[in-house]
Amino acid sequence: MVWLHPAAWLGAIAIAAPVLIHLLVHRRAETLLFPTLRFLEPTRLASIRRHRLDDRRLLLARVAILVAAAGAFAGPVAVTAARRAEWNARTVRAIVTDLGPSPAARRATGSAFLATLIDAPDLKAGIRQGAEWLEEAPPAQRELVVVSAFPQGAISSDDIAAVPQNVGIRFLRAGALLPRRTIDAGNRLGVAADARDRSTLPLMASRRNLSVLLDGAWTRVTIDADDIVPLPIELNVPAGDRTDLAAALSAVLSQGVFAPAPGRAARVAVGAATASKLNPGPVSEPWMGDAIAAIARDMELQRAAGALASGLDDRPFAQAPWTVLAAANDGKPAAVASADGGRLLVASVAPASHIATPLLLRALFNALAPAGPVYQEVLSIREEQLRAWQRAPASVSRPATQTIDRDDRRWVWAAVLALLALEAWARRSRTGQDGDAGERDVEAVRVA
Amino acid sequence: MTPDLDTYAGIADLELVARLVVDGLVAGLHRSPFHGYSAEFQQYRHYRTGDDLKYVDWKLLARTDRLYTRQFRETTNLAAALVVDASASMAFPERVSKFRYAVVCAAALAYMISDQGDAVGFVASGPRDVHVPACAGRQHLRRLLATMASVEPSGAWNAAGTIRRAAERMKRRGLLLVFSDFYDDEEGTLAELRRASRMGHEIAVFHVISREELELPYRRGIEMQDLETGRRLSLNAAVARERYRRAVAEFLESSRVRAAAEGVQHVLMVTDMPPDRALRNYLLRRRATV
Repeated sequence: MVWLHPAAWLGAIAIAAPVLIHLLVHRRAETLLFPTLRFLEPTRLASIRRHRLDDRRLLLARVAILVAAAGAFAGPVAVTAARRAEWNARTVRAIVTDLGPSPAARRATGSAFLATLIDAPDLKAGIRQGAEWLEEAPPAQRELVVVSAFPQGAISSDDIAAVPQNVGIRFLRAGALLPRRTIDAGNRLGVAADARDRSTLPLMASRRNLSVLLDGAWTRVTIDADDIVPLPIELNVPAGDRTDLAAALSAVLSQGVFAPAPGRAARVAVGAATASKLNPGPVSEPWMGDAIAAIARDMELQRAAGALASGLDDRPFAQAPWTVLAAANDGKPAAVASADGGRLLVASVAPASHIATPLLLRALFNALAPAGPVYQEVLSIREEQLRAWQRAPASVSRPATQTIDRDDRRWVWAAVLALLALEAWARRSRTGQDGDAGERDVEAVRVA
Repeated sequence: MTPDLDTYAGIADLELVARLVVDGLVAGLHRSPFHGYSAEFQQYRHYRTGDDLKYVDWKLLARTDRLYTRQFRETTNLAAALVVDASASMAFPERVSKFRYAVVCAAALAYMISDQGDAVGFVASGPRDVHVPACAGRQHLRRLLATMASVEPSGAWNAAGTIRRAAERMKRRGLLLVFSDFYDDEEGTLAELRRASRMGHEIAVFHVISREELELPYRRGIEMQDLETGRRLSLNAAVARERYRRAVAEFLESSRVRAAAEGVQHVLMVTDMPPDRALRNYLLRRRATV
């Protein structure tokens, strides 16, 4: 049994009322002080005892009425097998579409017990909205139907995972992909304008937006705009090697490396000789450790560093907090890393003109870049993926009480009416006993 | 307008209540029933409403434009004793008890008697006897009414003994007025009343009873407890009512007949009747016989 309004049971406190009345107006006789009893003789108490028995029945009937009334107000729902079968035989359906009120979307309603059409240009938001609507729907099998052309990126596995497991999901492909879409293609590294400080090379990131045009089965990509933002990567180099460093940097950037992920910064000292001008500290951020490991795994960098005749001479470079990234031919560290506050600090003995320098820069930029590809293809989601995401709605087990649309209080009220009739009958039959006087009552009072 | 029972019940001052009752009485009587017997002139006093016009001095009125009533010596010869039953049975019902009712009536009569210049005394018998000897005068009346008001009904009373002592204390023939429900020792009481009557006293018994005792208006099962003996009895009042009423009616009729046979005036007083109306019948009858 489920109760829609369990707080109504507080009304059962009213049961105390007839019980109190019964106790206070107890069927034992009230005592009356009287001037004289000379005109009366005692009667047997059986009639009074009989009243007590009647009163108990009356009390039970009244208590039962109050309990039943409280139960009716509490909204009882008998969750029987028949009721569950009734719920499972019907379906509530939320149709999410980015095609507007199209015929395909309307057809998706089908013979649902209850359905709603959610027009959502953003399918992710539409799926969330559909799941919320289904949560509040009356008990039934729940199904979410998505009607769309399913462009890549419109739905992800995370969106599907957020839909409750008892909700079935179905996809209906309809409509056509948009002919032109704009996709965020991530930030690319570039070199900023010359800075006043010749020992640094300020970098920039250009924000790329790819315009994708569907031309039959082909796509064309163009960069719509450049947005330059300064980057937290500092490159330190002896003044005389600046040109060489710019050339090395240009070679790395020509390969199309991505700007660091947000929150990641670095300082690179190229051609470092002593550790005294640097401010190393222990690595404190997980991304720094990941970056150090990634750089150290770069085999091309290892080979290039091994070609260096000698590594960093300064003894502190060989000790903590420095971590060796690559070793020179003499076994000394050719490149080391540590932390400088919130930045990854890298020092390299290789001059800017050595091949190890662009390889180090490439490895560093790749280690700082966000994981995974950032641009998407303009294709629709594959059919295999949609089939993998699809699932059937689960059977209704125990619905949320606020969603139950029909309860059984009418039966309980019928029981209340029957109890009222019983109470009236019990009361009248007791009054009938009182009215009986005369010879039929052999226990009548005899009077002096 | 005659005050109702609630008024009598609400006023604690017995003297005031008595006066209210007397005012109601005298207005209807026109002539005091306790007026003196002798024609020997004693003094004048100012006329009061109800004085017999026979005793108004018209010549004095012509001379002075003021009304005066002649008082005679024999008016001081009347001595009255008011005997009130103060047993526990008189404490019923709770709202206006029979005892309170009897005391109000007795106080009204004491007021009238004293107003005529006659002597009035008071006897109450319960667990403890209270006796105020008969005397005339305003001060005495006040003391008497105060004593009446101070008595609380409780326990049982020796009806026969009390009536005998009250009759013997009156040095000369007088008026003996007994207020009771007469539930105790009927034979003994009747014997003493007969004896007092033979002593030359004029006797009136005021049989006080409440409406509840007359009609038993209770429903279903009740347990009754005797106010004086504490004895308990359970009964179905609805079933017992008719027979009870018959028994009470027989008792009252028997009391009346036996009292009349002994030359004793019997006045039935039901406590839901205003006291002045209850006393008026007695006073009218008395005036007719005197």
